[in-house]
Amino acid sequence: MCPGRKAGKGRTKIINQVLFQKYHVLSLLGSGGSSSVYLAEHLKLEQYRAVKCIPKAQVRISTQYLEASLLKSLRHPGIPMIYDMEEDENFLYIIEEYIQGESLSAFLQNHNNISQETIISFGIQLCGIIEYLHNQKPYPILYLDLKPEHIIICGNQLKLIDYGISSVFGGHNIPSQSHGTPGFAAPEQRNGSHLVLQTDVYGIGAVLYYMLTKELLPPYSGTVYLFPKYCSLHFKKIIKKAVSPEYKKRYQNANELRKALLKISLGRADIQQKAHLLKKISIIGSQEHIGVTHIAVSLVSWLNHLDQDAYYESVETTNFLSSLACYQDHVWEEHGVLRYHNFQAVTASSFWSETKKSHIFVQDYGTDVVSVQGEENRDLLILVLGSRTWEMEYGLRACQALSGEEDLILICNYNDKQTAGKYASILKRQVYYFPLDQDPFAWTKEKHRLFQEIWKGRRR
Amino acid sequence: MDKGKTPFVSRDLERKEEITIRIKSIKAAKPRIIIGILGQEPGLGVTHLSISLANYAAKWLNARTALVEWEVRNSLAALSPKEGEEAFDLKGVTYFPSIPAKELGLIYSMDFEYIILDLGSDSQKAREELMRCNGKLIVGSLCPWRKARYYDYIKRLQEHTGISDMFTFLALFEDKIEIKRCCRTYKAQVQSIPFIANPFHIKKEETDFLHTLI
Repeated sequence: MCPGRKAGKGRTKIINQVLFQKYHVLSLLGSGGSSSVYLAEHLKLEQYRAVKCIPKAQVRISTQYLEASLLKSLRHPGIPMIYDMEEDENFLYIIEEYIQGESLSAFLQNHNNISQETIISFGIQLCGIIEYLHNQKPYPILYLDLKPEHIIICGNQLKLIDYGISSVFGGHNIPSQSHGTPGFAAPEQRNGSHLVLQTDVYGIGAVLYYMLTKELLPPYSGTVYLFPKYCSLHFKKIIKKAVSPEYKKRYQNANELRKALLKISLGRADIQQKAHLLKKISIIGSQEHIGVTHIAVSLVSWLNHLDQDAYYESVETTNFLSSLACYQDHVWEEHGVLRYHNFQAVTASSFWSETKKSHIFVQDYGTDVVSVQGEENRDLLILVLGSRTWEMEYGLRACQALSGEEDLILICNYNDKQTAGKYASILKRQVYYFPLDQDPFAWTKEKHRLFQEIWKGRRR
Repeated sequence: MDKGKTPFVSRDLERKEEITIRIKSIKAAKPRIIIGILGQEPGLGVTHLSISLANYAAKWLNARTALVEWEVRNSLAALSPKEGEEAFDLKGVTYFPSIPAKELGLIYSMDFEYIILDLGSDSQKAREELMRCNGKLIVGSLCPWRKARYYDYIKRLQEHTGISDMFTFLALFEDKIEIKRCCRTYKAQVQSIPFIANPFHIKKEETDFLHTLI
């Protein structure tokens, strides 16, 4: 399901064919080992699917059936859906959900500085997926192969793929080999001992360590860990406990680990509690090129970082989204939504009308002051002000035009505390200042503090 | 006048001394440098950089400096202590707001050592004016939805002029790693503009960068 693997000989023969009168095979997504994965379109539903094609002669089919039967009954946003299984004389076909995203390993390669908060939020999601697997009845499912290549980032949702060595805990179908991957596999996997729920807890801890350090866990106990300086003491303790060589000393299950991570994440719970109070945020600038889009993108990314499911929508006609789609890697569009890391934007009006009740929308009005005046059903209006001396006149004019709006928040750009203070003394109201920011899609402590302060101030 | 005698042989000694003094003052005068700054798109901080550069030249190089706003844009007019002034002095820099292109020659003939020309955002005429400057600075953005446009612009400019190092390409406070990555991908030398908090008051740590532009 991830592009990038090379195709072997003979693996392109089914491209452009229609399988089982339902699936039109479009292209090869990737291949490795014995199987290949193709992108196909369901002819009647007009939706994409990933078709995993496994030669019957080359692998143990029972293992593949096990993987498919494990997944078929599972329903979780972090687990790819299995729609169907088919076979012919030579191949077994597993029809799965088509996942568009970037693997965690690619994400880590492309980003030099990933904040602790981002890593914690990924960890919390992973715990949620593993907890779901461990809660399956009658027998928990152990994943046993956590590593960055098996984690796909789709917008703000992680998905766990490749259940080849997963096993049912306490059942009869435990594979004889569940060694996992060096650097991520627990000691009991390496030495062939009894596998437990805490084996997957170790895997989560190993992935968290890798995200922080881009290094594999040292194989032996007593080795010095190479945590970076910005890693907090609490986070280090959590990871060390999760990857304890003795399984009894680890968190006993993924839920315990998730609670520990939630405790140290920054004010997430408080913001989540107030999330239902704010559904529509309008953002506008006192003049052009003042950073409205940058701040709107930052706000959407921050909200999604906190699992709020926020969407950007451009009310003014701009080419920002099309430029992003054309020129930036790892951007994809599906069902009227464009996604890039934690950022998502509405590109089709059909999406807006169907789902407006359940999400937060950040609407970019550009400089269209007239449209936002007296706007109904809005929860917050943010006016971005220029901080340079020659821009203050426009800023004050816009403030005057919007002075009647009760939900107005003023933000001065370019980290200019001094000019924000000038505005505040003239207007006799609070004016925030947006921190210096290179990447609107990235989470930073400074942006978090600003948005948190604005969010907390909106008590309804 | 006798034939064979040169035109500078003057019977008037005072006239001869006056000419000598004038020649000496021309030789002693520092050459005038005109630095043009052009933004690939609007809103990239060209005026802010222009003011920063002008204040650097005036304060740190102790040079007679003018900042000229090319064509009618009214950004600098807001700085004037008196409304409607054609020129005004502020902290050692002489500002000329909204000067039409045809009047630039008049300012160039004035006694300034540095003339910083704020050309605003890209246009055919602005580019032509930039080509007449000693220093040719171009400001763009490397944010995700703009960087490819900036590099296309750089390529077209280099192809059009046929000279790759005529311009100094700048990008607004971008990460140095991103700059290196983009230089490798698009094969253009781009410098990052550090954040300058107050363009009217240049700090010591900001002078290194500004010096490279002058």
